[in-house]
Amino acid sequence: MSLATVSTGNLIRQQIIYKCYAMADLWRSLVVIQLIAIFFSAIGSGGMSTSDDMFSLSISSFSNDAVFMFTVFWILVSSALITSKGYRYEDFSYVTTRMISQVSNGILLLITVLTASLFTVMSNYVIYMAVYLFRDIEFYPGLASVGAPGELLLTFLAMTGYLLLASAVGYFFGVLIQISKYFIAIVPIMIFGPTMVRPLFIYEFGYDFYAQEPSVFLFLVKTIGTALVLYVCGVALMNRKEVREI
Amino acid sequence: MLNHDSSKPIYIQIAEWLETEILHERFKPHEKMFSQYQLADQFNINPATAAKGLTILADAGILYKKRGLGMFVTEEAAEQIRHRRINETLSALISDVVAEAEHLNVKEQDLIHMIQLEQSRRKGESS
Amino acid sequence: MTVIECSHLEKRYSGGAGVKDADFTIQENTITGIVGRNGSGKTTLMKTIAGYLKVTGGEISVFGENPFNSLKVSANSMYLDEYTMFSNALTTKDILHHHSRFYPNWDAQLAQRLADYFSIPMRVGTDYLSKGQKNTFYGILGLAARCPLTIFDEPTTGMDASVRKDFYRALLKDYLAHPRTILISSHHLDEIDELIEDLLLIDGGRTVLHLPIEGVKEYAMAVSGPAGEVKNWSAQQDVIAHLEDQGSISTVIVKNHFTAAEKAAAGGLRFTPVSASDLCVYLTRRNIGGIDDVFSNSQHG
Repeated sequence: MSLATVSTGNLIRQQIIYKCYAMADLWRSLVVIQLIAIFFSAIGSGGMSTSDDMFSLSISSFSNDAVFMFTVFWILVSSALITSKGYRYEDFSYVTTRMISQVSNGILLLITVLTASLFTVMSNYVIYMAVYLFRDIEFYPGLASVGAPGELLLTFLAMTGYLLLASAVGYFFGVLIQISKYFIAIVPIMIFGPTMVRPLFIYEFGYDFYAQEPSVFLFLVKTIGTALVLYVCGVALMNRKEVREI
Repeated sequence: MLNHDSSKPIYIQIAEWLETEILHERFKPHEKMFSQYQLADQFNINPATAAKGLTILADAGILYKKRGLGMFVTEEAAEQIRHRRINETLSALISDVVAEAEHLNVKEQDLIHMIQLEQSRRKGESS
Repeated sequence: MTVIECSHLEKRYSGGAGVKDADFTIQENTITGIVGRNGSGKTTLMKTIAGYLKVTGGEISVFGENPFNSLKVSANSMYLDEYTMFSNALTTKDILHHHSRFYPNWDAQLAQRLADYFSIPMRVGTDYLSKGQKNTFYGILGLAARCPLTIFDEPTTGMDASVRKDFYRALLKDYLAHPRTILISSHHLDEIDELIEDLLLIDGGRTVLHLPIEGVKEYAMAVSGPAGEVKNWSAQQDVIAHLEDQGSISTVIVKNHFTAAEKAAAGGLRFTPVSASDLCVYLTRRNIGGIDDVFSNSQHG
């Protein structure tokens, strides 16, 4: 029987198609988590109210901050889960190598991040609609208050940056746990250890380095750069990992 | 047709079965013999085992090989098989029979009589 | 063409065991039965060939490459055992579909017909199949993919007798039509000894025997008779095992390379062939005693 010759590129494509089906739960959970977040956004809101003898004024503001927070957390967990034994073993039930498996994981996560970012931006409209339909509010600002196209693009880019970062952190953390279970204990110590000396260290660092960056371009360079470094480290660590070992 | 529990190797059983087929003229001289794949399929065995059975017959001059076409029955195959079975199988059986008769004190005439009785019984069956 | 070549292959786990010294080559388009006791290293060996595991010593080459992280090996081989995993988001039907994308020789019609014949439910995930159905399904994958190297590790676990028979029959028929290299491990050599061409016996991580199966069946003879005579005669022979004495009759298993004259000198001793599966048991016995000794020792002690 003659041997099949296959190209790495084609196999990465086949693996991604396969993963899109096999990880249907991943997509489903994104929708569920965002709907929950939208629900919270539509009821909970920041607001101020003032009144005198004649008038009472109450201003409610709604935002998709909850959607953002939920989605970041979701991609973190999902990216860690994708490195788990089950998913890796399943890849090897088809044609793959460790490299192909991980590159296709990376591309799948990238697609997921872009989709999640888009959903998050769109969630503004959904929240607006939910409030309009279900909340008892008299005066509405126009739909334009959701954001101008330029603003939405900015949100999209920022969201993508944060999600990529979260995804790479999750992925790297997942890989470490696959290498040794001890990392479940070690990683939190490494992250929160410095906090003992200086409370809120991580938060401050993250806030200063990423969130406070005024240039969108530099922000993306920082987040994507960090994500790439973490991802490449993860791939390198996993490339010698056995599958189906007893 | 094959006895899978027999201590006799499968490839020898295959060779013997094919010999019987040739003796019964199910294969005529220069007719194409089953291939190892047909035998493997028919007897549910590995084709290499079937090939070994065919090789025995080829080595004994009962089959000959035509390159790329397969195995064929030789002109003198049936005669050769008959000859060998008389000289080997039958004479071995006879020596067993004679030894057993000796063991049981059966006289020569009685033994011959027993053989004749069996022969006429079989004739009666077949007619 | 050589498909698999192992020389002094070693695969140790941190817990020990695994493969210690495997030395053999497997030629193209043969069916090889891999047998050995539990924990002898069969599965480790097969997973190493499939590129799942990293070797810790010696050499292994599959299609001329180290299988670990080899795309060529992955694309041209398939390893299947009862723990093979598929996403539960996929139904058996989906899995067949995805296989058709990954394996260029995939025969979708054969897969479908076998699945129908064995009544495999097509609209459920593999977790909903019984153990026997699951292994039958994996067997179908292995046959329909027509990989140049297909490795079945205990494929008939959980199958009932008639399904086993049908599966082996299907394997033989498809092999006859599309010859390829197949490795198959089994606890029941009797079930596969007519299907396979070669036998590879493994014990304690080492390859003990690698011969054509017909050679294995003629490898040894059981010689029995009065204890003294057996002892005298077998003194000059390669003795593989001494069996438990039955009264005054003792039996030894000897290698079948004595001369006709030596056999004639044996006089009244009885010679009987040793089946392939019995030979494997004798060759891999831990000590002279058997299961009976466990009980006799416990009674005395």
